[in-house]
Amino acid sequence: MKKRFFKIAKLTFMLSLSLIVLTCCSFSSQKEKNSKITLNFFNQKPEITAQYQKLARMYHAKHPNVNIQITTSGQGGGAAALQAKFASGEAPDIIMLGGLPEIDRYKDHLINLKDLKASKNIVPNLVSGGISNKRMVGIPVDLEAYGWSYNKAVFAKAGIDASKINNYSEFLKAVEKLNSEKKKIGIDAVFGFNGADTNSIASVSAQFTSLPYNNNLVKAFKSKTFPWKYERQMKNYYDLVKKYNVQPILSVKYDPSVQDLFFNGKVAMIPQGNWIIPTLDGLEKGYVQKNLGMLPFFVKNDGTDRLLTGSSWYLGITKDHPKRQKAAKDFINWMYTSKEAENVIINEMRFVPATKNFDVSRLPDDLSKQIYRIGTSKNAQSPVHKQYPNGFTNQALGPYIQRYFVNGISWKELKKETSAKYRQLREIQSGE
Amino acid sequence: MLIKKHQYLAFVLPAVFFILLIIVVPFLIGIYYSFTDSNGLRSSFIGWKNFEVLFQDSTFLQSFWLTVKFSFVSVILINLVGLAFALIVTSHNNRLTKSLRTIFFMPNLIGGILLGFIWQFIFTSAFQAIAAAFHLDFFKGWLSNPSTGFWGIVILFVWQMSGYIMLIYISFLNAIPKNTIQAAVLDGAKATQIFFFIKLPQLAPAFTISLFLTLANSFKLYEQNLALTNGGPYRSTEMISMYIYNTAFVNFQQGYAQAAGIILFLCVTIVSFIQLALSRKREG
Repeated sequence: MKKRFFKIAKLTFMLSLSLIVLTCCSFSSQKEKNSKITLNFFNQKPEITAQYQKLARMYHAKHPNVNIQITTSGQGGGAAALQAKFASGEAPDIIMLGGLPEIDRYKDHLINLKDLKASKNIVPNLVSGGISNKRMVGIPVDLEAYGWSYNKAVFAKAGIDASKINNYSEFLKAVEKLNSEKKKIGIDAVFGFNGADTNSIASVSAQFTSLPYNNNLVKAFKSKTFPWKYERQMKNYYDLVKKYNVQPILSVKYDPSVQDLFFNGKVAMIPQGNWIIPTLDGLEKGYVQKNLGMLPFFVKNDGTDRLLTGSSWYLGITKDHPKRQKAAKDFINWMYTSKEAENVIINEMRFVPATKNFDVSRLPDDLSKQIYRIGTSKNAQSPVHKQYPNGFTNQALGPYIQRYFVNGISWKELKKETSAKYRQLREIQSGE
Repeated sequence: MLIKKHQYLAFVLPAVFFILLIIVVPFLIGIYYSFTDSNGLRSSFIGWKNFEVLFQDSTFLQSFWLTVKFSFVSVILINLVGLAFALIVTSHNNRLTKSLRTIFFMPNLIGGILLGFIWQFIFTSAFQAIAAAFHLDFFKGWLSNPSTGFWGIVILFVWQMSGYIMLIYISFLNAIPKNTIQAAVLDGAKATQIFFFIKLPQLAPAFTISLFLTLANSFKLYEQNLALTNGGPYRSTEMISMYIYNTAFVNFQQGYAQAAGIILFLCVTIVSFIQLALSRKREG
């Protein structure tokens, strides 16, 4: 009898203790909720995590009750990781989204950002990249330029003046000259096209697929067919790359192509944009200002061809946690409008801002200034490769063009297969 | 009395509950999703469309055919190598064979992803060095074209699985009564005769198990594929599991991927049943 009593007493004691602990916990967390907010920011660009963390710290210093937790997942795993977050009910408050197919997937979670201070200043031709059902749900992260990055020193050694290359035949002549003087100027090949990366293949393809949509990215996203309008020029460029590239082309990867081939002047051109600036300047201070220039693809070939300028990534705010929306909006406004945040963005991330009326002289190098001028001009053109259906880049276009590069498929077959895959992916992906 | 009567249920029910929750229910939901255009967040019913498109999808058919080829080659090779290993380590009982047992089994202890990276290094860097040193073209450019990519995965998988299959053969070889072998030796049978007429027939149940295991595993191969070639070059070494993963989490066609998964399930089931039925018959 005594034993049993003892047992019950022990049990009661344990229960009450755990109850006390529990109430304490809930009490303290409630208290925290009232005064402190933690914003979850889902970032898909691993290379700028450190700078985002710096921005988060700066913001926290000004607003001590707002903490910003940055989750980074990129390089192919980002989209799946983001979906896992939503599926598990831990939707982030601020999300970085790549293109309209991804925005479309989360459209029911995203709020309209039209009245945001930050949205007022967005460069006009980038606005459509963040629109879903006529609502503005994403604002561009930065302004990126797409074309050929060329090594000024190599061009100078070959006696080529890049400013005098204004159409395809002049470009062709320059390429041939570079090739014939390969030994003299010390390059392995003219191009360092990284054929291993489907993402680079896609961004190059955008040179030939963007013009028909004339900056209407929503139209590009909804298109049921792959645009072959500038097919002839597309083939010309791919054949040129095939002929004058570092071989084997499918073994050339992004990092070595930028950090070794291009940086060390072993090739004259790579098909990358201003996103390589931080890497190059990280290897040698002042390298970009001295050595990096960009040339457009001559697609229309009528003197109006410019570098394509767009944004691969857009920021959106979710409505899953209504209490944190205000803080999320305020953080984005601060990032896009305050001078201190801008300084980190242009000088440390080396981004070209995607906002109008920016004082161009603040940008740290000539190339960035040139990109800003082109991107904000009237005839700026946005690339559409981020609006291709999910998976089209890695699963269809990339592999088929890789096959074409090693003569595994004819141009006609490539066209047929690519078109069929494009249609199939659009049809089976639910959405609009 | 009451407890005794329900003891059986008390032991079985928790396990049944978890199997239902973790395997059966998701499986049924999966079958439902194969008839929708789910993208992971939203879905609507579209009937048989996924299956119709699937059988016209050249990439699906290609990766399916690749998987069949791969399974065929690797099942044969793994069982041959595994059996050879087992015969080697059971032939004598000394220190060498004991340590060989450990060595042959070791690859199985390393995870698939890690193995993939190790072999990627061997195929690309080590082979390249051999090619350069001895001017042997055979060792050049492994994994950079479809056929070396395919054989690369086969080699990796055989290397990994043989040790495991060896264990099964060892246990069956050890179970063969010594007196039958001794009797054969006394009658003047040669080693090959002993192997083919005495050991092999008694290994029939071992073949059933080993074939089943290797077949099912090679059909489901994923992480070795991912780490070694990631489907490259140009998706030519993309096996069916990788195709399903990419369709679901890169293309976000999750209903469609589910349909491909159902097809894979049906194939593995049918092939395994046929194989089991055939080998059981021979056992009997």
